[in-house]
Amino acid sequence: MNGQKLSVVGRGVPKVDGAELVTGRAKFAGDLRFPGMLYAVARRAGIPAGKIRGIDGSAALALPGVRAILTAGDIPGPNIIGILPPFDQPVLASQEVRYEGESLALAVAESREAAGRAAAAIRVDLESWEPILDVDQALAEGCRKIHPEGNITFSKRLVKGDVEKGFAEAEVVVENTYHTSFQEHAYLEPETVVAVPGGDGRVTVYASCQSPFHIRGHVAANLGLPASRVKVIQAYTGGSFGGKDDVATEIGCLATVAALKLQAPVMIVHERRESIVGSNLRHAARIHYRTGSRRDGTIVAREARIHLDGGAYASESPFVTMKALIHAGGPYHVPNVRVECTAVYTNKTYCGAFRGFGVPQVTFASESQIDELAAKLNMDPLELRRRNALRAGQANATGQVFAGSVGIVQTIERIAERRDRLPPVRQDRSAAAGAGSTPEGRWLYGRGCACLLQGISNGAEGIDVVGASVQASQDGSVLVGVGLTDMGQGSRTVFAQIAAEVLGVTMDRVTVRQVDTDSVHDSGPTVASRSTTVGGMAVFKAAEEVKASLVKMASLMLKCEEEQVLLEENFAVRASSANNPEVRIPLPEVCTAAYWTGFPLMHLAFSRAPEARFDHETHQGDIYIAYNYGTHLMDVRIDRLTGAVEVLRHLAAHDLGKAINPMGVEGQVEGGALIGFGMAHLERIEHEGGCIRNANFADYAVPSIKDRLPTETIIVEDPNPTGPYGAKGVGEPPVAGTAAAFANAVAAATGRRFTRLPIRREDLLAALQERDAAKGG
Amino acid sequence: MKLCFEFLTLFRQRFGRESLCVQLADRPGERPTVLEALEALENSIGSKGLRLQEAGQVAGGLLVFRRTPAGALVQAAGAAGERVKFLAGGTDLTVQIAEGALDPTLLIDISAAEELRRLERGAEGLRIGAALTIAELLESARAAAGKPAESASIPRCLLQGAAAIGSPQIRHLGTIGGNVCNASPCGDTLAPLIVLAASFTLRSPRGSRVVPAEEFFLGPKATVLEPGEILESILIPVSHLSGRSAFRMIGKRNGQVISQVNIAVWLKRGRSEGAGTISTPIEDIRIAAGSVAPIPLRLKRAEELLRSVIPDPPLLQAAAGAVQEEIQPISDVRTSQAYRRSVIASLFTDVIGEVLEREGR
Amino acid sequence: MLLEFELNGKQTRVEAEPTLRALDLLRDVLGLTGTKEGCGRGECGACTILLDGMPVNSCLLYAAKLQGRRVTTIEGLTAEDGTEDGAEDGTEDGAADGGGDHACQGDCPPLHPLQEAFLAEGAVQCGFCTPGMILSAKSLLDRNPDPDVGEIEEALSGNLCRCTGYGKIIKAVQRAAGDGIKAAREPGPGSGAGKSGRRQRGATR
Repeated sequence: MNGQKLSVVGRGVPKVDGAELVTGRAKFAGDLRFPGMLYAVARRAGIPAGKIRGIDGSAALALPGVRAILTAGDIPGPNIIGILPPFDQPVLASQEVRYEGESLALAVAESREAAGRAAAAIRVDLESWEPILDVDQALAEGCRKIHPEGNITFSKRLVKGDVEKGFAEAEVVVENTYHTSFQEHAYLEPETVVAVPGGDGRVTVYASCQSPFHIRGHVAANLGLPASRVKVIQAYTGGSFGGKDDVATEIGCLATVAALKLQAPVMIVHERRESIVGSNLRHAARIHYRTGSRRDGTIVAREARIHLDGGAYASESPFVTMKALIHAGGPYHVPNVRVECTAVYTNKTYCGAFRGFGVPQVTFASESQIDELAAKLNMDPLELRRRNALRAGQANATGQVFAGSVGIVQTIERIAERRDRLPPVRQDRSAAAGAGSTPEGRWLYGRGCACLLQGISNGAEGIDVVGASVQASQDGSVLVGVGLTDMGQGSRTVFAQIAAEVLGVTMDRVTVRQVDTDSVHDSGPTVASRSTTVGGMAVFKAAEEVKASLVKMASLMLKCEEEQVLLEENFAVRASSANNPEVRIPLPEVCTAAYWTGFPLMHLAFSRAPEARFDHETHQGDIYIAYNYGTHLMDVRIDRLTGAVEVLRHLAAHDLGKAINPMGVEGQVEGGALIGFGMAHLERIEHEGGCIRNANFADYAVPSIKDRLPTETIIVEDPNPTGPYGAKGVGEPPVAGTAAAFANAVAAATGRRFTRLPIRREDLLAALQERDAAKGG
Repeated sequence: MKLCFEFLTLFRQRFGRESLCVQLADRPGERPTVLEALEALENSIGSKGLRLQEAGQVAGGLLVFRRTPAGALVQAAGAAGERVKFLAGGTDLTVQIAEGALDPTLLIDISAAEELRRLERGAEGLRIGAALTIAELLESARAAAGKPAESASIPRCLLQGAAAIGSPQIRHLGTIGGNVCNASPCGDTLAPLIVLAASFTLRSPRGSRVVPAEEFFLGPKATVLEPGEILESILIPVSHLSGRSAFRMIGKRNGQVISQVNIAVWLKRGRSEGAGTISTPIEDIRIAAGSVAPIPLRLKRAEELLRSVIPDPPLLQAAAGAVQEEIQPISDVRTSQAYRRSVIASLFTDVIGEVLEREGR
Repeated sequence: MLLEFELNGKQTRVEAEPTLRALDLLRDVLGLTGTKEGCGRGECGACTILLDGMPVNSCLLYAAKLQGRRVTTIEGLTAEDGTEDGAEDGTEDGAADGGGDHACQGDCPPLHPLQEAFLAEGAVQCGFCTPGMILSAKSLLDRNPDPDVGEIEEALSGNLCRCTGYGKIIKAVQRAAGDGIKAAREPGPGSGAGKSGRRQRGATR
């Protein structure tokens, strides 16, 4: 695999499904139409906490066009969803309301408008309780229990070495507490499913989703059906970023219950407000952190205490907890690390997976610490990072040692090289611009950098398998099926590239089918930047099997040894006579011959990541198959009079093993970076009394084109032996790097450390004015 | 295929839909006015009850015409009170209806009415038809750029305010009249119209009346418009077409922004003998801000500090301070009271700097 | 009521409730699902259509307002040569489709330069914002064939995208503008069989 000349892997090819998307032909779930299709809308609680005394759908049922009002009692199965233990979330609540978006009943009608009117007309009798709104309140002695087991969702520890000893040795210590806020995914396509009963005792669920197998399992369980009677097909999905992991499951169950009860197709499409309130958010975090080093900058100890506000239900809090735990130490070689992370229930919209998955929050804290340490040591922040960065052969925070593909130092050096060629950061000493004149000019300039690591794939979170199928037809075209979903990140294209590379066909001869749970092995969710690595590996293996058949056949036709057969450009070629056009055969002929000779042309392969083995008390062990490492640099300019921030430069260097599609990599880095920027500067879910006040795109400031970053992607390739062609994923890392670099840049520009994200314009203006007032100028 | 005038009404009951359409055509040599059409509609509703009535085929501007005797539909509409709403672009109205904040029984689409879409410079000043879209206003300014002052060129603060509204999509549908009548405190054309001493012509079957912009707004989403009354046009007096004006706003992000706070200034300098305008006094000045009070607020104390003076930095600083004190901002989901109070001084500095042609920003 | 308007170049007559949203008229009544709903409040631009060539949010438009107007949806974009179903022969020259990197999942219609550019520049990820984004860009380029970055930003400021970070979208519009200007400057009505203006499909970087 390594060293050979690659023809399509490593090139920035356009998306294989791009033409469908730019012409509007691609069918997203909401574009599907079935005869007799009905629409369903959930009735939501509207209060953050309380007891459900009664639900009366009779008035709603009498409205024109309404076919059914369903409640918890209509769910044949256990009425539970949840990715992980404790499986604490009902599909439809019947006892208790735990957050304002809690679904209490489902109205099914002949049109969306009729369903909406019916949902509003359902009478619910709720006894309102005082909501539990923050972590400290939830953890306080005697606080009402949101769930029977109490208000701690999940709590774990990571212990490496002995931090007490470490801090005793430390000559310099920095300590601080950091906060991050709830962030909304804001995918452009709201959550959508259509459940269609087949005539054959099966039901098909078309979903905008990233975890079709989760949906299948939950639908089957809640409908009391064997999973083999449920088929889930992923429709084109308009963005997900972790948000459609569990929500799709919830509405998949709801739609299916309705569809089977009424024996008609049922569609559920969320309105935007409902999408924001009723589906998961990024955990808000409070991180208390201290870091100790020797005077020469060698970090000897790091300790963090993390609280995650996870809202009303567990969702993916256990995994986010673990990931935060594991990544809090940063991409550094630190002998003594102790991290405690606790996810807590509150009566707010529940939190789950969102691109980054705990890593952006802890990276912000960790990297702020590093800069604070650098300041105290009077050392260049990048140099301090380089000194402590992990090298191959060193144990990371979980004690895992990688023999290779630890490219953090390379990313630091690439950034340092660029930085050396940049002009120094401006100091604007121009004359006072405003009525309130100050010695500084209108703009404050600052440069910040940040390092990060992000574990690839599921790691400690569970079994890490992906199924893929590759089928060659007699005409030499190839059909690929994978259990992982493309939600825009381009995995379909990467899978096509891998199959094309292995089989020597051109990209236009490869088709990657929709994800269909009937046709591939259960592959788990498409999360954790795993599609290229684990998914790609499965495709690679399946393609290799098919290739073996073709090579065998070709060797017979070319009358040579199998080792001499090369597949390239839709031909089978005899290697020793590459320049001789007589000795090559079009692949379609090889495929046809192979079929007639009886060589198998389809294979199902299964890629399984090495199992994580670790101590569950200390989280020491081999947890991830690989890590992506990155270094970001950001230059900002802050308007002292308004707090507005302009990002002048953003360099994002990532060691991603191998860039299978460099253009796709750039897209992931640029897109992830802007989400990180949103988290750090623009976006904040505003709660009041447990209810979200800005559940729309006007008051929740998703970045517009005028807010974009000038991100420049720098690719570092330190090949990963467990990924196809050495690849690791890159979907998530840019989020953490950008947010952390922004915070450091702002600190450099203002001379003030901001410990809360987002650092909004108003926060900047207030801080600058405070400083001016203090200076008396 | 553009219809010369088409009048559409939408009549809805709560639980069932009845559509009522009346279409009018040119009488030879004349054009029906909105009011005549309203009268025609009243006739259909009043005398025939709520029957469904549809016109025949539309053929290039010549439609079935129904002329009625006097009787003001608008009065009938008036009797229904707030249940009648006039629809122009609909960018605010459709959202409010979809969210259930408004539930009109009668929506009257006036967006195609030509007499509401004129832009004319006359002896009294610039008259802007209420149903002109924001984009049309901006486009006409582009077209007028470089033409003599007598053309329908639009004062800068109003253009800057208009350009700050929403997005291109919103600007191509929404109208200046809609922005005014929606009367959201953060509406971006409101403060500019106030500093331009604009007056609004309101029309109803009872006649018409003129209300100064400053007196038009009563509170968030509340105006002096009576049921059945339309904003017909906006007049910027000739006195305020000269002078200089500017507008600034700020929001949470750079694109598609709703104002957290905005401010407009218009001023006129005295005659200058020598070089440089810095040393000439401000003859007259008007300052107004949006999103800092329940209505767009005229900032008279700040004006007083700058009227008839030669503006120097200490005076401008004092005026900025007066602006900060005079506004009554609140904290809301868009931003905090503190930020509004702080940032308005900066916006004022920018805007006054622009109209005074100061150096730097 | 009976609505009559020009839709993607064809006169269209359809019976619809006047207060139906134009978005729903297009998607549910006329089956044109290329226009998307992202927020229903005119805040995201996914529902953008062109009305007399100008971008508007179809979620804010009552269907009645389409009467007598010229409406363009993403389905109405055609290749430069004006054909909707494709040129007579499938390829520009022998090698283009077979050897090109532009692989199509389904049958490939001829694409508008903006569509080509979005694909070539990697400006499409999940694709949900793409129809609205392309229409806003088309409206810009139809009126201003050589926009600067600020003008492109302004024209697309009403279209949100959560996947791409927007950088490649800007590049795609610039590319389409550049191709358009080049095409406009090419001498003569096309060399050989009327194929002037056909774009090379796909690109590698």
